[in-house]
Amino acid sequence: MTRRRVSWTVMLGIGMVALILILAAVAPWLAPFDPLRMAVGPRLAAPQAGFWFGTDEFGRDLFSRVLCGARLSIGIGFVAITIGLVLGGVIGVLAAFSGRWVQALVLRALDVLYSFPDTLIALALVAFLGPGLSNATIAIAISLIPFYARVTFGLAAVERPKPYVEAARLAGVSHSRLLAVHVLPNISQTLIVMGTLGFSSAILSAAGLSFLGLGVQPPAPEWGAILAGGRNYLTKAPWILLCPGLAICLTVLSFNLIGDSWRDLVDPRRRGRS
Amino acid sequence: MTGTASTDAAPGRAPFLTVDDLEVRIEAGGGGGLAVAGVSFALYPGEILALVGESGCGKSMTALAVMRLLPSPPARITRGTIRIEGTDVLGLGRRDLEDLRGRRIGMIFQEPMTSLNPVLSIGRQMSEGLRRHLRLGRAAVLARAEAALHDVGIVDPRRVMQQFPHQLSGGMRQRVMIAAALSLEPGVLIADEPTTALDVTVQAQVLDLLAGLRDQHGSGVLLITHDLGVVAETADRVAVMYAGHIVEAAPVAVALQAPAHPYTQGLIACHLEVTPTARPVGTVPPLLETIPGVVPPLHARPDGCPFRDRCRRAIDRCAQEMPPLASVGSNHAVACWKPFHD
Amino acid sequence: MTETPLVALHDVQRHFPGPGGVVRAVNGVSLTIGRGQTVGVVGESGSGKSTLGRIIVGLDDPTAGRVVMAGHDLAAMPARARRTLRRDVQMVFQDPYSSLNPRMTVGRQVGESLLVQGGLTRAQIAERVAGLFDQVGLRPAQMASYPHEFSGGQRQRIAIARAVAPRPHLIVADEPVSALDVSVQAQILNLLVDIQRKSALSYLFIAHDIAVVAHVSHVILVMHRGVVVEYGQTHEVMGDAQHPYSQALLAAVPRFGRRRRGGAVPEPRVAAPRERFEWCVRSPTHAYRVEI
Repeated sequence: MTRRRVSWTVMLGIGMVALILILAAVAPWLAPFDPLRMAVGPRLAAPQAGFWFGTDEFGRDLFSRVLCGARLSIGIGFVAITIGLVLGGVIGVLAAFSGRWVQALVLRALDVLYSFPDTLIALALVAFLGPGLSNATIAIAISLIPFYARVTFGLAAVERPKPYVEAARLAGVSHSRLLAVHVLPNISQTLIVMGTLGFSSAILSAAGLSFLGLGVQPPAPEWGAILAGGRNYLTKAPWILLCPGLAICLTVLSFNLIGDSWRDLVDPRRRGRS
Repeated sequence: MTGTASTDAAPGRAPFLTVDDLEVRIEAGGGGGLAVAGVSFALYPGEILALVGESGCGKSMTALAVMRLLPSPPARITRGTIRIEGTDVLGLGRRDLEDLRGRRIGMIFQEPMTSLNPVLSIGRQMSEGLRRHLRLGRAAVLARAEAALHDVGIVDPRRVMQQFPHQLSGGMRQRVMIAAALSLEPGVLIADEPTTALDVTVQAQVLDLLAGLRDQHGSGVLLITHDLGVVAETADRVAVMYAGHIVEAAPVAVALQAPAHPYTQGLIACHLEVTPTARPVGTVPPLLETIPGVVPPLHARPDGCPFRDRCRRAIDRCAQEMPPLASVGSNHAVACWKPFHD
Repeated sequence: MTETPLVALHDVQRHFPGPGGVVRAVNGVSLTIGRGQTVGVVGESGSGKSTLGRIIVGLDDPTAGRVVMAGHDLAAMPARARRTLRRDVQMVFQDPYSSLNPRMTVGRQVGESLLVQGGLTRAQIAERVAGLFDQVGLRPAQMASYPHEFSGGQRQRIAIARAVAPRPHLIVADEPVSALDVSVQAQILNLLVDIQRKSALSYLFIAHDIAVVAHVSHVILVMHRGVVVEYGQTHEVMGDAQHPYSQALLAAVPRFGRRRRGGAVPEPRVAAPRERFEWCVRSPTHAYRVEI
């Protein structure tokens, strides 16, 4: 039997994500300079040997800052997406399998939240919670809940009337077991795909909040924060904006590449028949 | 091929449709194979020829190949010829093919809903084909569509023409499909499981309609079905297919009363007739005759006769060579090394 | 008859809100199913036969009327006791593809009712499941496989094993063979009959194919638009149908030794939407009243 052909875009996505994750993991050892140390070189120096991405207004090495920033940006994205996916998923599945009135109530509430842009909700929450790394993460996570609840609800509502779910009910399976053992495994693949695709928007939100000064606080090297710091030198030192911008772009792109084709890779129904 | 000649209904008359040694291969990474493995038959005016078999026997693939509607890839015609009133269908270009479909050969499918466009009124859908193929004016097109709907037993064609597919019942939709196919007066109608999705009372009406086509318009109908009851009532000749081969071809009465192929015999034995048998509580019904096993999947068709693993009469030769479709009586051909004889 | 019927329905109604008003999917059905009995339900689409089956297994609740199981009125019972009683009624669905969980091994699915019921060790459950696989004509080694590795007929065998696992008194089989090829249909019907022979359970056998229903059933109900129009012993209904609808239904079934001649093109049957059939002399309410 031939295995499924994996398209080159997926392979590229996987390769890039793996590379980014490895770089983020070994960043402290790989970085040529301490990302926080000032005046390791001249101020606002253009990219050159020794300072590959150039330096910022304090003479910090941008390459080291972008490299170490990967940890923060990806970390925030990962934590936020996990919280948002789990909480949204639980709400969605429960709503799909609850009675008519509860369902209507939850759905209308989600509709109201869903009508605001994620970032706006995150902004409002940070305004309420106060700026900072963990508050920004929590805010992003909460802002993602309506979307994932809605997606999960849709997926679970499709499964609910299927005969295999009804058969499990007839077997005497409890409500919680029905959801955990029967429904979740059948929708989890799609949810993971949605999570992978949402990962990029979480990273963007994190960068956005930091850019506005509401997320990670200076001098911590988060991508959005670096962007924010560089905006005053747009004409004099465009590399301060370009380098972290490119990092965000590449990371978002590679996660999207994987997300798009993830489903084909993990679906057991598509595995070669024996 | 020997098969074609030996199963001609009326030698001397020119057939509408001849299929000779048709072979359709399906490519699927490691799981491909011959869906149609050398099928030959001829369809004459004024007869209903039934292609019968279970899922995977190649009957629908044969019909789609005749219409040149095979999904390609993965399916590909690798051998054979198909002629409709002398025209070589496989040699036609796209434009000629479009002229042929509908005009000279019509097709109706199992689920009429999927073959009707949900956002166009019935009148619009019917007139499209008429305008394209017959180049008639607006008034003539509408009159013709109306007449066609009337012909299939629709009492108020004008109202139906203004309706949309979802407003009609399944039986009405199938009538509309048949009317649309008939309005172009094609010589051949291919009906692929036309009544499988319909209720039994509606099925009876659609079958009457097909019989009417044959008897009143002299059309040739290729009826694809899995239901032997439908075959018995409607068809004139029957070709039983198994794993891509025609294994038996005969007039319906002969095939059903004196089947020569063990598979045909098995299908008939499995078929349940409505009989008033007393079934007192506490008793259980008698076991039905079955054909053990299942149709071998496309990629695992054995050499020799594909039915031999399920056949009680199999002999050594069955494993080595696929038997050719050979004559065993007038208009009766069978592909078996050890057929039943009277 | 003094024996309490396994299941008795009294004037059961099930209404759904529809675009043109209330749809009475089941409109006053009464019936009894005795032990070891197969009750066949025939009817065309929209007759309410599937809704009736779903009410009996408890996947749907009647809008009005009573469902009595083994003498207990279900509506009057506490939820826990109802769940225990419900285990005695299992179901086999039409589509062998969607009725199995694609992400669970078939062995686990067959054994699940035993697992959640409690009282058995995993080894005991595995042993029972292996026995069930054997009974339905599958190899116990196939327990660890996933549904996509099986053919339609094999999946229906698995679905039957799952329904039989909790040792139910009644199995509601809703079109159990209509998705299968003719030769496989016969195998599955034989399996159902074989199970009845060994364990004396009852079937409510729902199908549009009258010949199939007639083969397995002791008693037949003919349903039309939510109402039972005829009810009787199989040979009575098949051989001497009284109701015009049953007669029309039987006459339409294709059969050997009859030819269709396309004389005049038939007029479509004009369906009067509010048409109601009079209750037949062999109505189940009569039968039921006699029993009281």
